[in-house]
Amino acid sequence: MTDDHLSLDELAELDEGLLPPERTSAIRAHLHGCGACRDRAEAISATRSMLSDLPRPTMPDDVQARLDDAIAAEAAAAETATRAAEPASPPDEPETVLVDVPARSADVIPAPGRVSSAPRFGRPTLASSAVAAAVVLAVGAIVIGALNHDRSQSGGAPQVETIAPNGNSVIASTQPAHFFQTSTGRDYTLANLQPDIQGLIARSPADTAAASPTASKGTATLGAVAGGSTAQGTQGTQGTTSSNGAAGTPGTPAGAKGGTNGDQKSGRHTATVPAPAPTPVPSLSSLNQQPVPKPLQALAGSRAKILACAAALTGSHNAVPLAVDFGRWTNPPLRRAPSAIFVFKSPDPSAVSVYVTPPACDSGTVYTYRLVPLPG
Amino acid sequence: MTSASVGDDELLARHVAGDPDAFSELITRHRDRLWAVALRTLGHPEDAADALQDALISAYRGAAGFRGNSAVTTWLHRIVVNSCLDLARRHAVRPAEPLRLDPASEPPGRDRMAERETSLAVIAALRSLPPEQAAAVVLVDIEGYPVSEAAAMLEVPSGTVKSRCARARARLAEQLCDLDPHRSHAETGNDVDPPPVQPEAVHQETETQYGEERA
Repeated sequence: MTDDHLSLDELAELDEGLLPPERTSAIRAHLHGCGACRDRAEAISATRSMLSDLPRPTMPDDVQARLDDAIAAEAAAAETATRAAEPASPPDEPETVLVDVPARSADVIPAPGRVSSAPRFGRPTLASSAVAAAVVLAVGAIVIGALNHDRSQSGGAPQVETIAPNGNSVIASTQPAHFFQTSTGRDYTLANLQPDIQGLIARSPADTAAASPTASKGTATLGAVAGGSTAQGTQGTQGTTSSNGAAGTPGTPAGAKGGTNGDQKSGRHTATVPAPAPTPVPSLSSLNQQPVPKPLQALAGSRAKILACAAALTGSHNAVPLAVDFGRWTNPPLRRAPSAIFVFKSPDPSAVSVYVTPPACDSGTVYTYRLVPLPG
Repeated sequence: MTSASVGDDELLARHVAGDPDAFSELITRHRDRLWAVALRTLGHPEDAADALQDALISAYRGAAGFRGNSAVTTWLHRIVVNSCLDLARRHAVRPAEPLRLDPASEPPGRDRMAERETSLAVIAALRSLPPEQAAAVVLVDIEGYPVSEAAAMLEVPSGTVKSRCARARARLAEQLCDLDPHRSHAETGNDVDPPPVQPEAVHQETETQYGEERA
């Protein structure tokens, strides 16, 4: 190995024929003797293959309907303009069209069966039913904010990435947000996910099954988040909210409603849990810390980024993971891709939610999502 | 419906001449491809739909200005890509949204899982690219257009397309491939085979085990 390895950029330029001949010869000579750089050169062509193998998406029906509407509206507008003796110039009513069409398309979009596979996250969903319909069960420290967008459709839709497997998504938070972070560099795979996650949890300070630390302050309920109301009503209380899908439609002060409503009733979630261990992180003698893979370093180095990632994954601003590990994800042909493994408490006390995400977690993408049973 | 033998140019000409169905037919022909370009470039279905809608309205209005210097598809792509890039610039900061499977995803048979997750990985990585780079690799590597045609769509020189593609691939490779310098071949020479992802049985079991709870 020489210590001046070729950069991926340069190898990609070589691959694209962008380098001058002298440099090309020099690089080829280097590649001849350097396995690591050959690997990197191969990674460039592997990347091209992965791109060209990407399946072509089909335009979802709802988008199609929306575009048809838009074109029809444009045609109508153009005709009107023509009739008004404005020949062939761009119609004057673009605003009419553009405002009108999305409004109509909103009626079209929730085509079940499609929606579940054609993600419609974002503005409307996040603000309204999806989050609002979640049930706040616990004021435990660490809770999953489940991606329940397609929960209502999940019955019929085969989904690898089904999030929020049941309706009881849980969102709550505590502060300070403790989570266990490590970097095992482990090669996670589907096959070993369960034992590896169990091992990870076993080493994390908070026993997830038993110890959901009770929040003593600053608890925010989902309702408060979903309804956009302020959280004062629940501040300092347990704030356990039991709501249903009806609560928290946009603009509804669901937080206040739920906060008073479910306060005492869901006692099973409130009184029994011990307080959080204040200084958790144990030694990892049996779990070798590996250097964090380079693409993950930015994420691993920033608590804020980790929490932002947790929020993006779960759809909950308050989501705090139980544990985060930095390692790799292998699921052929994806091989040892640098990945962050986020473990969240799940609504089911006998299982945890596991997200495997690529380094660019800000976009809320996941390689996989699984519910992993806990031992016993 | 107009017969399939009518060329794109002819359809566009009919549209300009006032045929009320011609434009829709033209779009129907190419819609999946245009959708793919928008979705892969922007990474968000909502954004892709927004950009595509804007683009189609522009195309509808601007059809009379089409001079036939390029193929109709090139012209359409140019409008769509421009619309995507405009929208990407406007949405430079936007809330994170979870990614899930694409439309078009088939039911996840056992064998499909790995494939789908690879797709997810690639799509996720694409989202991390600057929009101009994403557009270039989408057109060239995903959609398979020749560099010269992609250059016409992007309205930049071919050399620019190539260097955008190269930079994009380098970034993607870093995220998608095992390039950890700490694990050189010398150290891992013996694990040429992937870690123990067993065939069928394990996959099936895994899937049941982890996939069932949502019932």
